[in-house]
Amino acid sequence: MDSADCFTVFFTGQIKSVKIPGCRNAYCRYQIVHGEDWQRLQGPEHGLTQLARGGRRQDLVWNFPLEIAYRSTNAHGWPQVVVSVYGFDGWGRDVIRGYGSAHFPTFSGRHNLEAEYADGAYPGCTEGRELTRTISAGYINLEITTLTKDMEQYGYIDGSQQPSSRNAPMR
Amino acid sequence: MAELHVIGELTGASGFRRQSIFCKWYFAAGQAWELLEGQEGGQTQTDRPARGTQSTWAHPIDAHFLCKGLTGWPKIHLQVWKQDKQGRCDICGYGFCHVPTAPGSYEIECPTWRPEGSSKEQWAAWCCGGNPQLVMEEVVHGPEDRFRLQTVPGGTVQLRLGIIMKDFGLHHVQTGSSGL
Repeated sequence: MDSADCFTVFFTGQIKSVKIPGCRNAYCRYQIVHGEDWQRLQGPEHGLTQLARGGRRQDLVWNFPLEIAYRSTNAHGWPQVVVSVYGFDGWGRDVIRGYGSAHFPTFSGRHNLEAEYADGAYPGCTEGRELTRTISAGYINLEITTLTKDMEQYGYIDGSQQPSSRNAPMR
Repeated sequence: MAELHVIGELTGASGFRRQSIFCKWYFAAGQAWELLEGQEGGQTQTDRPARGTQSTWAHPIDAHFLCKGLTGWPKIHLQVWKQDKQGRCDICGYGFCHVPTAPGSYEIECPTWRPEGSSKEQWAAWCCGGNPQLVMEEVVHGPEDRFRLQTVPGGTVQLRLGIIMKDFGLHHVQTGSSGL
């Protein structure tokens, strides 16, 4: 098997929608965080969606594209998407609705994610969350397609090398 | 030597009633495993469900292990605690799950339990709080006998884990498929 100096991962998809009970408008700011061994090849690492409006029990739809590619030598620090959802209250003031985060899927294929979403304040970090109190508020729906290159040549098995009939999407 | 990456989230928990809960977690692995990068353990934020009993933590996990032998495959030890309005913390459930042994993506539901205690301890907990706790936490993820322990069920902790393996094939280890 040929070896490779690094592997490349492409993520494409969209921030589809959000469900916030009792909320009728929202926009989302997203940021992609990753480890030191990861180098961005193309695509923006942060962005801002439109303001979506909806009925009291409807999902608020953004349909906002995500396209980014990375090159890395280490699977540690796998990229995560961190989202902050804001809206406008009755007086037109910007208010925070909540925060969410999720790792991008770690193997090739199309995945539907629900980034859990809590009304609190923290980034996509493992440390320093002990003192934070939050209220669970809903889900952000993400649809992500992961494409990997040279993972096997670099020595990694991520599960996508198995026959496709055995792979399970992430729901 | 082979390497194992565990990448994902402690997504949340359900079935713990509508109260503020947090989760302490850590990896428990044998001596043949060494954590190269990432946190060995941690604690989530304290979350209270706005509706129902589904709590959300979305606590990221990203661990990189070095494997020198297959014995002692890593497990994740979980403890769910509740916090009341006075700031007191009380155990709600203990649980563990093995890190999956095949590459792929997994949605894991881990059941939890807590010690019931004697009748006197149960009455005291009902009156004043303070559920019985384990003295030796290794009982949760270890294979030792538990026949002296009486427990009641807690809720369920949900995890979403992606497993990436490196060089296991060079050492003739067959991991199979995710099987989902």
